[in-house]
Amino acid sequence: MSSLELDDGELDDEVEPHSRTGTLRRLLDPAFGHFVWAVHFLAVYVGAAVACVLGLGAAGEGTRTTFLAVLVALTVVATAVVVGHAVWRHRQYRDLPDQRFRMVLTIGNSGIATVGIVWQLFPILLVPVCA
Amino acid sequence: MTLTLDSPGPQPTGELAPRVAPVLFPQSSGRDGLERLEAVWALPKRFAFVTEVNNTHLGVLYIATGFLFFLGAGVLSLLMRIQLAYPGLAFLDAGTYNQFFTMHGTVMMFLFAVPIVEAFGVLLLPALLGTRDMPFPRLSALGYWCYALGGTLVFASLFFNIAPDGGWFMYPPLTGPKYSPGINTDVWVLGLGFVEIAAVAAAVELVVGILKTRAPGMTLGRMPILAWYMLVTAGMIMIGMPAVIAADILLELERAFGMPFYDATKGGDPLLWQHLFWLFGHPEVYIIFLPAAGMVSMMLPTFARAKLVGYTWLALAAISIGFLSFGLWVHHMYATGLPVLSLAFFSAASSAIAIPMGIQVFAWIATLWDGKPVLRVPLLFILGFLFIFTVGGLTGVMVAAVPYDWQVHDTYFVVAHFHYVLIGGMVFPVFAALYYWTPLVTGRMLSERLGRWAFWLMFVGFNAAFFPMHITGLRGMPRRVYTFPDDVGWNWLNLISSVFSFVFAAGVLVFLIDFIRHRRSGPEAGYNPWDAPSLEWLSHGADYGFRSIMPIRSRYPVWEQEGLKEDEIGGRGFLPDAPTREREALVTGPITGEPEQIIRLPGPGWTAFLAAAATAIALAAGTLKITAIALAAGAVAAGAYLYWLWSMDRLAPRGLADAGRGVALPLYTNGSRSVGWWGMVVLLISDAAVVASFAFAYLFLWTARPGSWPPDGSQIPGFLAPVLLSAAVIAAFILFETADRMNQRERRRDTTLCLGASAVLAIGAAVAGWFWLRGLGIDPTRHSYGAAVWTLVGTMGLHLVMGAGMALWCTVRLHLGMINSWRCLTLRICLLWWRFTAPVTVLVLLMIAGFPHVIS
Repeated sequence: MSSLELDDGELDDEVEPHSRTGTLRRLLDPAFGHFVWAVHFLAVYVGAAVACVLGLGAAGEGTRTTFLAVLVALTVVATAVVVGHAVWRHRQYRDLPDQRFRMVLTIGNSGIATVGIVWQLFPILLVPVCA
Repeated sequence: MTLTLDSPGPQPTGELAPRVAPVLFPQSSGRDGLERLEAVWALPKRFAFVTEVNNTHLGVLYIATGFLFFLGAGVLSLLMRIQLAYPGLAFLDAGTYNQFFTMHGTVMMFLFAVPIVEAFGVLLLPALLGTRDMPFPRLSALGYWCYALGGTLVFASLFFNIAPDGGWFMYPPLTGPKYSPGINTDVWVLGLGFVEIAAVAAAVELVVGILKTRAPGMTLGRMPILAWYMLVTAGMIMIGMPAVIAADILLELERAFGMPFYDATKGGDPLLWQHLFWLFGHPEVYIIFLPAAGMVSMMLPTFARAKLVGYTWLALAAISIGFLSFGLWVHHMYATGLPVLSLAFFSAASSAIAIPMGIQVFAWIATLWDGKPVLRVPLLFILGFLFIFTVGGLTGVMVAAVPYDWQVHDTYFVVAHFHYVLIGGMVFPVFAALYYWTPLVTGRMLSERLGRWAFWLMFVGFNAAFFPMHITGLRGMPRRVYTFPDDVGWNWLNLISSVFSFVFAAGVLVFLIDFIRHRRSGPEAGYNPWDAPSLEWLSHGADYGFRSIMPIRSRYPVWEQEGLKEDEIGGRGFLPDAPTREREALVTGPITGEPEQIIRLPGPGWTAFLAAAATAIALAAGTLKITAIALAAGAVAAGAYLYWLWSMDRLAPRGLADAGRGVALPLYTNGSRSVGWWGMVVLLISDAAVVASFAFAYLFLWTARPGSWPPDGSQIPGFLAPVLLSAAVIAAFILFETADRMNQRERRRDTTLCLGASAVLAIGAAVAGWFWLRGLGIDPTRHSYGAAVWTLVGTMGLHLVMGAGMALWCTVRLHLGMINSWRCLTLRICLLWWRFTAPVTVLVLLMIAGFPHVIS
């Protein structure tokens, strides 16, 4: 095949099924999991820091357990959102060979982000509250 | 959608601009087309070379300048090693030594490492992406000249004994006005200012260039892997650099105006500096490493004679590192007494980044495994990189563990660790890149024999100089001491380090000699001397890059697209001519790589150079307190920037131009497809990060001293004034939006009225905000609370004044016929400013007024 043979199909081969979305959002979509990671990271860290400043360390056992339960719930929700997004994109792209790169990029990022999200919970659970 | 010559397709609405008729420029792929191409891309002669803005030309200058700074900072390190060769030497006194180690670190990090990796992007990306040039060449020129002139001024401070001496990360309170009353610290802030201008300029150019000026058909999945790495790096600069910009501004506000951000006696906190600095400083390590990793990923397939294993995984590893690296900054602060939770939290994050880092290393090893490696000099440096960087990574795992870090903190163990990471992770790949891409620039090959000498001298010299430092550190030698006693067991280790640092330097010298020699006697490189698969080798050193822009349908076009070279030289690609008789590039869709527009690029001009030179002189004179020169140069700089702005959004023909290959494209777009729109979006993301850093400072200062808030005896802000201010800001924004709609309907009078009213409201809100803070009794110098509030509100006030200025700017252009319903990009880019400023101002007001109520 000569280098000049290029038809419209080849030029348009990354038009996604959700192409009505804005270009900027489509560009950032494969990194969706990492945005959730960033929000979760900040929420958990800042939440814990602020709660300690406001006196969580001196609060009763029940309050501390409730606080940890909230953080665990946040982590579960964040993980579910990332995994759900990856599954959604997988369903959209799996039958489209042209979208394979985008699919792997999205799922791979989501995988690393999920590990990152769950991993960040361990220090919170293992270290005594406000130590 | 691709427009063809037969069907022009939809056009922007509105009347034709005066004096411009629909045109269709014919193109020629013959000799006449080539001559026009050569004429418009010709380099200016002699001293006028400073007016050239072509990225490829600037890339060469950029790398050469970066390399000179590398040599300069390297000489400083050799002088320090002489001083440390034996205990009790008086070769350098303590003060000079302080300046030397500070300048060594500062210059290596800010004037060599960051700029030179950006420089490789600026040099290589246009060719790698298969385009003639990236969209903002004048911005690249501004960045380069600010960096080169400003960097030289800062380096020269060494000769006048006013060089920075507080360490490369400049911790207050040592660098505050009390303990560093001289101008040494201000020189550091000045130097970083230049680097920040250059880095943000490069980030804008790289992001928009990679997304918008690729070869037709080059989808995101077909981009050369370096483009992915540079895209992530530029994104990290956009978000990370503003944190240190904010830290610098706060430091200078404290030093110059007594606003006590870091002064603990007035409610400030030195840890605020450390947070902001490392919030940038850790991603900085990856800002340096990622482009180097990208270059390694480009070179490996060539020498492995095989395609990259795990292209997609490398791209996603780069993206993951880009994000995760922002969650590690506290691991530089383990010894500061932070809560255990913080330490554990960031220790965990530090280990999470091992996943994407591991993906990369395995992909590189697998690529070598998959192919039949040819051991040429660049591959030798890559193997050296893999070895040294891995050792640095291992000691990195050690210091990521909090108890171990406490043990070796601020010792020579850490010095050894980061030199292994930075020299292994960045200097060796850069040398590989120099050997690999020099033939592309000079047309001649460097010597294989001298290259091997250079490699082995550097490799042995490096390891023998820096490995003993691990032991020196474990034996307790602190970093940053100018001498040491002779009875503590450090003598031999230091002597070995000193001797072999000269062996390392000898390797660099061999490279230099080879480089000078090869310009005359190096063998001719010819076309694609390494038989590489990527597009840069298709360009033949001509100023215009490619004879014609080729459609791309592979990640390895030179290996896989038959007849590519013949078609490119034969002018059978896009733009084989200069149809507008100016420099041009194709703008393509960010995701699909589909051609969208032909942009006309600026040619040689004095604006960027003059603006950079005047800025450098003004800032340097300001630092040295020579007010008259600072004011005069500042006025020249302001004039140059205004002229530059005025010259943008030029009159463009309304019709479609022939892009070649039977495709017709517009020469102008006025919305989100234009490169200017994308540039502004990138800039606003950086701006948002600066405002977020100031907001972080406000909140951090509260967490450091929770209690009554406001703590300085001023009144708690009420809600009436912020609500009224917000209403004024939102009204100004809505008026600007309305102005755009009125302009679309060609209602000039109404457009003017809306713009004028928007400007009046914006100025009114800024002035009212000033009175509001004064009325509350908030003094910016009494307490860090006041300093933080004034900084945040003042920043948004400046945004409002800028917004008002933009409204007036648009009004003037409207009345001179430079804005109409079709030629309205200026108006829409200014509108983006308002779409950012209005909601952020409201959020800031909400925080300043609401936060004291929430916590009380």
